[in-house]
Amino acid sequence: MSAKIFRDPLYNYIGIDRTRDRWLLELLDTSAVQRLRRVHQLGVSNLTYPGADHNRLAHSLGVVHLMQQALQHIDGSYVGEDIKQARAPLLAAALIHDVGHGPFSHLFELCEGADHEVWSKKIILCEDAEIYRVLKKVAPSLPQSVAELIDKKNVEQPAWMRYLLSSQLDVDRLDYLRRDSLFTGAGYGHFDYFRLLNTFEFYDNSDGEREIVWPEKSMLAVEEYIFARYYMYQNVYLHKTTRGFEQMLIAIWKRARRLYNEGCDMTLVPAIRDFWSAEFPTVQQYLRLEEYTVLQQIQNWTSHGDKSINDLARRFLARRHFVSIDPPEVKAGLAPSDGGFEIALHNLVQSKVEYNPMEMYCLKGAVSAKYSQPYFPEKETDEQSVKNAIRIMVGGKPIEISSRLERLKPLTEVPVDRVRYYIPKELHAQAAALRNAWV
Amino acid sequence: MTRYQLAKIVSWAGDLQARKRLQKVVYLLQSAGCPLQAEFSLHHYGPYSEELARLTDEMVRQSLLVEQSTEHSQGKQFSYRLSPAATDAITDIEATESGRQWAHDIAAFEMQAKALLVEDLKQLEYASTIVYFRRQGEEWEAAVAKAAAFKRTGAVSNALHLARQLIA
Repeated sequence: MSAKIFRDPLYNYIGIDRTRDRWLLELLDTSAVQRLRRVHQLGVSNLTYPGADHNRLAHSLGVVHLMQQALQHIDGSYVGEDIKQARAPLLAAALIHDVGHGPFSHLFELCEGADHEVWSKKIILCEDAEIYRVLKKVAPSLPQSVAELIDKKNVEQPAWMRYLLSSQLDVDRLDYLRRDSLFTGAGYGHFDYFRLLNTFEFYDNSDGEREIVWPEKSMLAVEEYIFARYYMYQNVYLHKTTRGFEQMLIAIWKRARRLYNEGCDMTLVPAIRDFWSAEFPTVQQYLRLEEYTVLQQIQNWTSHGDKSINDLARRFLARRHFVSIDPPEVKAGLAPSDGGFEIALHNLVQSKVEYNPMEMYCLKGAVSAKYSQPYFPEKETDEQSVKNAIRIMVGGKPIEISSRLERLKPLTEVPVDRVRYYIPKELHAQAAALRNAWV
Repeated sequence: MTRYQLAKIVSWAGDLQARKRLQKVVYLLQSAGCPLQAEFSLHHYGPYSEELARLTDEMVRQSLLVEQSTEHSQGKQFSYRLSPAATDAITDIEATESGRQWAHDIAAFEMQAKALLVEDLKQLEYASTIVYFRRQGEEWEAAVAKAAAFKRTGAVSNALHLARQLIA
């Protein structure tokens, strides 16, 4: 029987074998996976990049495609029962690794404090749900194996399998960097993914564990990949306008939730009301949260009696963003300090009656170094794996790539955590004057 | 985990040998109740925190820690000590009200930290791995068995004793 073919803008065709992998098509057809069509891959980045409307389902299929290529490469180079056994868990994990994402992807994690990986595991292990049934039919242990593979803290599955799915250079990143680049139109994020997927090797470490390394001839492809990450972080993922809208939605959401907990009528749509009223929301309650649910809720709030929620909801839907203001340079030391700038900025906003409460009109966006560094290698040789270092084989030994390519060194240096404030445009001149006086 | 907390641990060590030692000591102290709040996952040699690795490098870059590297048979190893600027900064911080509170919060763990900092590295690896599995809900016996399977070595004599001293 022929393969089921999907058209994809990145790979042209993605094929799934209807005979060998029929179960994967069944998994794709489950409602929880289909829901990913309605989850934006880049959250609210489409407010900055109008083309960034691609969704988590297309990305997940892309990860399946890359995992197939990786498995084909392994099949051609290595033999072993463990490799045969790895196929189903790896393909399933590739398809459903993001199934626990909420509306607007990572943004919802910040709104609700809900980790998407925790929800992914709950969804996969929910015995009443379709995903569990499909996986169980393939092998009784498959739901558990897949849940373990997508849990970054779990070490039950072999290291090479975990690292193929999640590490400093994995199939997830190989897909989303190029896909996000294509759909944003940012023009960055290009690298030779084919070489990376078709040249990696296994290396047995001193514990007898299989590690993933690259041959020296792929060194420049790895370099290109690291730079692609750097450019995408700088231009897309950390874009200040996008970050501002994220902070706006988080502020609306958190205030609404607080008022709801205090007993206010927040004119909630049923799915959100059920989720918020449950002490321990179920998988079904979580999966009913959709982007259109959230957007309808924001629409409801444009006529809500709480002035600030009403105002920010209108601003969000009409794309009227706050402007950003950078704080003065933070004094380095054991206790970094902005010298009281934040308090002064709060006082400025608080002095304007129309911007009340202050916390809704002075939003703080902090970017941890963790999210702005394209590649962070562990320095100590025997602590390295592809989880914390990308290594190339030189003379039969794995060498961390930046120690071989000096020009990568600057990218491995830990940047300082960055803070930005977002305030109404009307306050920008006064805030900028305040900041300039600080310097 | 804060810069101040890491500086205190390095100051207790004087000359802290190996990043691996730092990783395991921080994990064990945190497990014993020290409010360090670093995120750890299990790696080759036991619990490993990327956050702690980053913080260390950040403080080296800002001249708060002095780093030295040495080559040995397994590759590069690093050691750390406080810079004079960081030593002064600790004194300044502890003269403030909030600094006194920070110092108080961590002071109760000074003796434990100093004992761990001179402990055999293999024992630290093994003990922290046992503690990791124990904190995942395993009984002591199962935690030891899992640690042995994970590390693919036989038991290291004092590791269980060390682990049990630290957590209930």
